Amino acid sequence: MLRYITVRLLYFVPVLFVVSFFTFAVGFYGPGDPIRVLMKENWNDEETYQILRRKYGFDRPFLVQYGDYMLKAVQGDFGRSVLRAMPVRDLMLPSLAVTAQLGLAALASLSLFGIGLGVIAALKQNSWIDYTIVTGSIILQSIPVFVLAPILMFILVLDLRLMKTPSGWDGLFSSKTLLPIFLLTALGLLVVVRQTREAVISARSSDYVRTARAKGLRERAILWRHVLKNAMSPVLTTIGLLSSWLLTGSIFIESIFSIPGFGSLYYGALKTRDYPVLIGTTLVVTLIVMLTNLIIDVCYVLLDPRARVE
Amino acid sequence: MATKPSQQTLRGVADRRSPRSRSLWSDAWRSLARNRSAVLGLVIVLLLIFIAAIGPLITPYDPNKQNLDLIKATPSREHLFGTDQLGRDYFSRILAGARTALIVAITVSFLSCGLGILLGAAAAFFGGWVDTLVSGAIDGAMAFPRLLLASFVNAVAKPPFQQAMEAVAGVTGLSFLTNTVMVDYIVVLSALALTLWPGYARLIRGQILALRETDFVLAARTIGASPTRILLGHLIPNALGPIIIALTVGFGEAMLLESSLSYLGIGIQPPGASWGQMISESLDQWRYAPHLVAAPGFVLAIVVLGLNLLGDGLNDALDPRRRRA
Amino acid sequence: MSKSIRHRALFVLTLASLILAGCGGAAQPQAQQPPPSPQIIRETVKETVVVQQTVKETVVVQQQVMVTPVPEPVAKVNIETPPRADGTPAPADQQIFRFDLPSDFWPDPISLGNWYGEWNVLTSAGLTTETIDGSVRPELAEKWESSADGRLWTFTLNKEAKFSDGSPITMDDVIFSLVSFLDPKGISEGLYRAPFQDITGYQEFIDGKATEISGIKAVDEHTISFSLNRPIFYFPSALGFWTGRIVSKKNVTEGGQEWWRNPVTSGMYKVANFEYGQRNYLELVPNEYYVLGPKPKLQKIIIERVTDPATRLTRYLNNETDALYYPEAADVAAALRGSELKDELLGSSIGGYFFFYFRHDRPPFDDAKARQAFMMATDVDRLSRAVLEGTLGKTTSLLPRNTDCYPEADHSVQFDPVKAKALLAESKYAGNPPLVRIQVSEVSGIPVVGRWTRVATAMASMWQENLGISVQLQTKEFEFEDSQEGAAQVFRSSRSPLVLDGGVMTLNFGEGKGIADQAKYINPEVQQMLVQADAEPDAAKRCEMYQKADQMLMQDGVIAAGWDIANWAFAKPQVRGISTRTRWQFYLSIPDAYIATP
Repeated sequence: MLRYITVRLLYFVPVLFVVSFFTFAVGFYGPGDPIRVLMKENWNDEETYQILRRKYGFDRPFLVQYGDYMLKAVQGDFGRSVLRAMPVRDLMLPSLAVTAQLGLAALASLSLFGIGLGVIAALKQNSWIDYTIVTGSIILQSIPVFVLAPILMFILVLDLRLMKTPSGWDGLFSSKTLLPIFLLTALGLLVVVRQTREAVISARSSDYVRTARAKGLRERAILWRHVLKNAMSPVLTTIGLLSSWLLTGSIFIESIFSIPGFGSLYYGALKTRDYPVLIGTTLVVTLIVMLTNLIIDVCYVLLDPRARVE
Repeated sequence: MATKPSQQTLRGVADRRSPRSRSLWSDAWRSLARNRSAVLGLVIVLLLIFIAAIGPLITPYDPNKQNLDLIKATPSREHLFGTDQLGRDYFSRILAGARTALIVAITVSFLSCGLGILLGAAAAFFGGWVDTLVSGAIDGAMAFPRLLLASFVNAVAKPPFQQAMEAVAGVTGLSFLTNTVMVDYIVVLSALALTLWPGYARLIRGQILALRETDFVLAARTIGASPTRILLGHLIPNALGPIIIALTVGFGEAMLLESSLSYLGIGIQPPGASWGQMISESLDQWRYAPHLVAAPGFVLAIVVLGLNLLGDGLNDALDPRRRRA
Repeated sequence: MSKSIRHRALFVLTLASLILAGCGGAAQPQAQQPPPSPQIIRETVKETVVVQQTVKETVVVQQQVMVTPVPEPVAKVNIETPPRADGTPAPADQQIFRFDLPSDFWPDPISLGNWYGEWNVLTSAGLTTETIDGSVRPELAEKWESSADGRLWTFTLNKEAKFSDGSPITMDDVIFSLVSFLDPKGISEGLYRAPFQDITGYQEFIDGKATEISGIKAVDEHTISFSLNRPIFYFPSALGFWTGRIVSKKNVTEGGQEWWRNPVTSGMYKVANFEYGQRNYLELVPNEYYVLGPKPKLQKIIIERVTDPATRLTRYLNNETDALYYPEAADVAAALRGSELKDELLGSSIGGYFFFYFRHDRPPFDDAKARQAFMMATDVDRLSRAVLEGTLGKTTSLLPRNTDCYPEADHSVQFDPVKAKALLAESKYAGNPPLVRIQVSEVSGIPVVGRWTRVATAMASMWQENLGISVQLQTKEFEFEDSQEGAAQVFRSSRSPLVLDGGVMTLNFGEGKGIADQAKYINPEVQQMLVQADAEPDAAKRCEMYQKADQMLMQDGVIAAGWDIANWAFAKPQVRGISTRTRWQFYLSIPDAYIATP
């Protein structure tokens, strides 16, 4: 097991390089230009443009720029944001903390509600409870978040007068995080509910559960000892997929609620093609995605001895 | 089947013992037809296909005909869903959007799912360096900024593609190839597909990793079945249930992703109609002309719902162990 | 109250209908449709935007079916909300003014990385500054004079001027500020340096051949002079811009790259609290050392970054802010139609314009008659009324609004579809007009599907109907992307005036500059006129010459269609004394603003 983890960790390095290389190439050759964005309506002042390109070092050949960036990135220096007048590292670290808190809270609520509702739906298969849970989560999923968020905000703040406008970040335990967490949960709910429901249903009809029933085990014990334990492996994959997705997928939610997290940092950089930020965030996201995937795979093996490694 | 005992403990056994007079597929079809919500889903999906196919014939107005004297009209007898910010009939545009939605969903899902199954299955089954390579690609592709990639493909791949199409049209005389709306579809769709395959690949990899050690695969191996045969004949069919779930969810996801691309301006180009674009374009109007957001949002939600219900039904129907008595 | 019911009803309705449909099967609305007429069916089968060949047929049909023979005139949009009545000022502890900005901001009046930095006029003094009626007034410079030939300008500084830390503003600080502002290689981006490019020795400085700008000289401790390569009589106006203002040399050099985290200010306000990074928050209080203008009445100004427009609106409606800057066009339009916010709306057309321009080097717009035909086929007023919903009015002159030079007469080409068709038939593209592609992008920071895409769509349809040509739309994320060389011929852009003077004509349309450069527009006659105008000492005569150039440029199609930029904002009823007539939101009227007792 230890060897497997070491090997996986080792191959992070080439993946990180490939991803950063492609991001850099897309940035270099693709549409948009942070300098022109910075210049706003004066974008066609060619002399200034050339001076600024030189100033930010964007006039150097592609490989030189890439090499220079990576060399510094390895030492923890991700350059300076073109449009936000700050070192990228100082932008990333605090926003990563914010998004991590938000994402973990959402993940907790997602696991709680998703698995809970999924199990209920499976136990009450084909009853109205099952239909309501599944249909409800489908509906929550099928309204784009940038529609749902402003409508809910208007209702909660202006009509029901329940809270102040949720904008910004005052720590995890403030009323401002309720709506973002709810929306993040709503976004991933359907996938978790269905995967759980599906897994529980198929586990309940499996041979070992029948055997357990035949042995006269009580339903509750069967549920906990056999059904849930065996159903968790696909659910875990799904939640694992979602956890990295929560990190990057909260783009719209963080932007709407002005949460200074990783998603809004990335989204702002994308809109202005602020490449130092864009590449820095991409590298960090890649690392996190790979780490989560590794953790899932390890948990997989621990939960399901059949899926042996190597 | 209906005559079998109804005790939970015996049902599965009963299913297995039932006479194999009918094929798997006709069994599945019967089971599906008995499932009321699946039938509803099927109806919605068929209706979408029907409208997408003959849509232009039944639209009451030209979906692109503007009337600047009648903008943002509320729903009325003449304009069932009202008119949009340029006075175009909203109902006609929604019908026209059905075609976009269907093309987006089908192409994107099948492209990405196909790619995902191929790579995921190969990784799990062969293991070793194949697995390392594919897992790396999955990690990389999942972490790669999806919106950046879509925007890149949109800007970089579109012009040469457009020119190539024009050249082909010049030689063959097929003028529809140069239709910009068509070019957009193809470019945007491939961008979407490129960003969605890792989900499928990971899913099938996980499934096959779990199935690889099951008895029937061991049995097949023992009797000397070739790896390809085990993969195609045993592993993939058995992993089909979760894939179908993922695929039906993926249909909706593709449509919703198209809407967020539209929100960023890299979706279907105007004046082509897509529901996602209609929603994001009218978002600032929701307090003043709510029908502009509600109508496409409603239709999109209905279609996603239909797809999901159908997916559930299919899943139940295709799994013999879970077919209802 | 009705509003709240409406929100809730809409939401509940949407959800309920979804659930209902989910359980019981959706009603299929098209069953109730009246059978469409066969004629329309033929129409709808076609795509609107196709290749030339197919469109030609389409267009013939469209003309028979759709063209309105005589266009009814559309009333012009006029944007000017009346000033607010005076009230009794509330006590000093209630003189707090709060608003949100949509993007990052930091107190730096030299660098321009921050897009919404115009509020820096509150914290920094310029040599000159603008008034709300569009004229130049002294600030740090008490008085100024020019040599008779307009090439040497001398400014006398106020001897009492102090920074917010009590230290005097010295000549050293002034020269440091100006040189830093003009140097794109240093801490500034030098984006608004165009009006200063004719200072003697500036080009040598930029090219690295000189370490200082020889044309900027300290005559004595309180007198600074600028020598210019050519006569420019609008020079004092250029010094009144919101950037290029005075900073403390000590503060900047000691503070390092992020010196603005603890800024010493020269303007009427100083920074009491500033957070940047995670949260972007700024608190301004009056600068007690400020003697260069009137003391402000507002005792505290609080600015916060809130990126989402719906969130900004919610905060404003929930009384968490007192003013809403940069509101969404939809909310302004609703207020103009009489929504609950109609009495809180403030708006003025200001200098500068959003516009579509032709690429004069790409057919068919290399032909003057074709350009005119396209302009005549565009009903700009109808677009203002219908697509822009009265939030922007037609540009009738390229000169800055609210200045003495702004012409009363409408210099733009008038809508006339009949004549347009005739003109196109006279042009060299008669009978065989090329496919016209419009490249459209929205203004940065706003989702890309927006009003300019709609305007372009409507404009394309007008051209198709009125000229019988085929038009294609290309949306781009950024306006500067012209990746398909030789493809699009019409582009969208915007520009606001760098100086509040007819001199903007030279800056935008002089040789190889600004808009003329973007449009690849070359007109030696106009260039000659502009050079003469800049050198004319008599203000009235200067304006006359600028106006003549303006007339020629407008008629020649240097822009295809334009809309004057309008400052829209909402402000709570108790906020008095403010005006949106200035180029920079309310900021120049802040000295007069106060909170009234209800």
